[in-house]
Amino acid sequence: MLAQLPKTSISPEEKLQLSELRYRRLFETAQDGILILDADSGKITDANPFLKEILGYSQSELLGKELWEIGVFKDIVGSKAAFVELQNKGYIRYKDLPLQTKDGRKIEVEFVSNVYMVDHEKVIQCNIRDITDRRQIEEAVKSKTEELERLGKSQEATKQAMLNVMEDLEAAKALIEVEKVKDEAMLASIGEGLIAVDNDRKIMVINKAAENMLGWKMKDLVGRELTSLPLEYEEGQSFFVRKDKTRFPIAITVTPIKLGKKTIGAIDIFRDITREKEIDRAKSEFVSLASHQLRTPLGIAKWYIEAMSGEGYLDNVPQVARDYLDEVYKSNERLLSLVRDLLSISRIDQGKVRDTPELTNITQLIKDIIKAMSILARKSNITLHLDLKKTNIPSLLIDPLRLQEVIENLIANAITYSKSSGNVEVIVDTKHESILIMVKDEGIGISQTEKAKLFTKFFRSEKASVKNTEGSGLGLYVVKSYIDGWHGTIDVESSEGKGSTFTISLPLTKESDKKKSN
Amino acid sequence: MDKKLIIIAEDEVAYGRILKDALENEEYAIAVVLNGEDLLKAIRVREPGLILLDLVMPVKNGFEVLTEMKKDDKLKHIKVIALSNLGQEEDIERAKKLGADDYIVKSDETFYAVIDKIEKLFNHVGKEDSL
Repeated sequence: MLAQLPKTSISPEEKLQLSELRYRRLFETAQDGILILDADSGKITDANPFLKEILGYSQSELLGKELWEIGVFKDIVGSKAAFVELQNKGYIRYKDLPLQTKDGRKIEVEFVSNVYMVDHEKVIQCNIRDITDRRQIEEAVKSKTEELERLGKSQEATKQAMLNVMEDLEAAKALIEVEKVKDEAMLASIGEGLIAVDNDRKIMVINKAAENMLGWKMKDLVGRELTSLPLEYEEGQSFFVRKDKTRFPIAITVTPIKLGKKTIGAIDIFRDITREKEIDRAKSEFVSLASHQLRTPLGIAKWYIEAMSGEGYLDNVPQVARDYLDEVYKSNERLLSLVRDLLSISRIDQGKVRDTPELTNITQLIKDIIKAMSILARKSNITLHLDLKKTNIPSLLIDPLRLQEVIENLIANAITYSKSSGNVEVIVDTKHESILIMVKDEGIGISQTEKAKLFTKFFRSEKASVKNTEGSGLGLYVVKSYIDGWHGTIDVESSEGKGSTFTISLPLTKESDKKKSN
Repeated sequence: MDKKLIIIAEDEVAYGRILKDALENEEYAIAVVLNGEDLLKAIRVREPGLILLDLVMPVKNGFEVLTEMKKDDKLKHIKVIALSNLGQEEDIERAKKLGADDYIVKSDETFYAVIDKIEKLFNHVGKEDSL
């Protein structure tokens, strides 16, 4: 608003002069650019200093020119048609008009043109306001707004991602629930008792089967030491003691619970083997009794035939009768041997072969065996040889009776399956922490196809069956079972018609391993 | 002079007879009983120098006999050879734990090997007695 001038009595002329002065001052000082055009010709008649400042044109470059002749306006307003429109409408407004100043600077202006009368002449006043700064602010605001919008969008995206994660978590949780239910169902339904303990051997979980077997409830045991469940040990058998102090034999396995590489506890899985033990005992008793019952009549026959011969009662009977009786005797021996083998196998199959290892002088043991078996060998025109490859064969921690059984078995086979005469050699050697015992014959040999089955139960090679009808097919099975138990090996090399070599390799037990094997 | 007494406890008559036939001579008197009960009665009447004890017998088996003998101060020093067709390690161990001095699996040994063993042990017992 203009300042109110004091009301004085002045003449109309003076008034006009005053008005003119005021306008002029406004025109000169305005912070908008102002152009005055002649409405009829469109030529610039005046321009205020601010406009010249904005556009960089001098007074002389502007005055007398038509608006569209000035470079700055020519592309934009550049048509007389627009001017004609202005003349007709008396008003034109461009809200934001991009302009280039004389020196090439880009500015934006708001352009307003009005037509009005001055002293009965039509005049156009163009007000040009530089809105570049405003534009820039607006742009900045817009870009900020956009940025904010984008941010908003990305927040939206983040939110969505969060929601997705939540959904996944829910799904995972549901899955875990399902797994948990499955685990619980499994825990509840397995017949084995299960006890999970932490690293301090404190009980974390026990399952239903364990509750039933022990007579304790899970709530009674959780958090307590595993040792609060008494475990008794007797003759190689573990027993759990129930809540009511009775006990039952168990088979138990302990597995560590691993989280990554870290052990966080252990799971003990056990079952009540009372029934298995009973069956085992019944089976063992049956075998024992059956073999006793079978042996008794066979044993009586054996002794009576032996006594008949030994007391000279057969001296005066014909040779043929003695031969017949000899056949009866041999047949009886065969049956006895079969019963013995069946008993051995029953014990092997039950894992009941008792191993009583002691430090055994192998050389001496083999010498004794050879001495004892030489008589049998001579009867078959076989010579037994011992070949000690090393002078200092070390002693071996092994069950001497069973090793004797193994070696006797191999030598007996070598004699039985030799030709009418020949040699059987027992070779003792050491190699890579093992003792090698070889039994080499010059007998009928074993075919390649039969070699694979040689150590199986009841297997008899075709030629062996012809040569010796009495074998049970159990000897080598027993031999191999024993050797397997000692972590040794037995191999055979054979050439049909030329002979066989059985090689036993027994690991030399180190002092430190002895405890383990016990 | 009284002959040295060997008592054979054996329910299988054939085993009892052949052992009796082989062992009986001017030096040894042989008695055969058919079960553990009769054996315990017999040894309380007259203490033998040796018992040949079968293990599987009616009324009272060999293990029961050994158990009772072990508890009885008058009987526990009597020499016993368990003579059985039970051949499992557990049986042998059990009999020896209960006080049997030796264990023979009958069908695993020839008749003369058994007689030899019995005579050796008995002669040894005899020497101890004469000391």
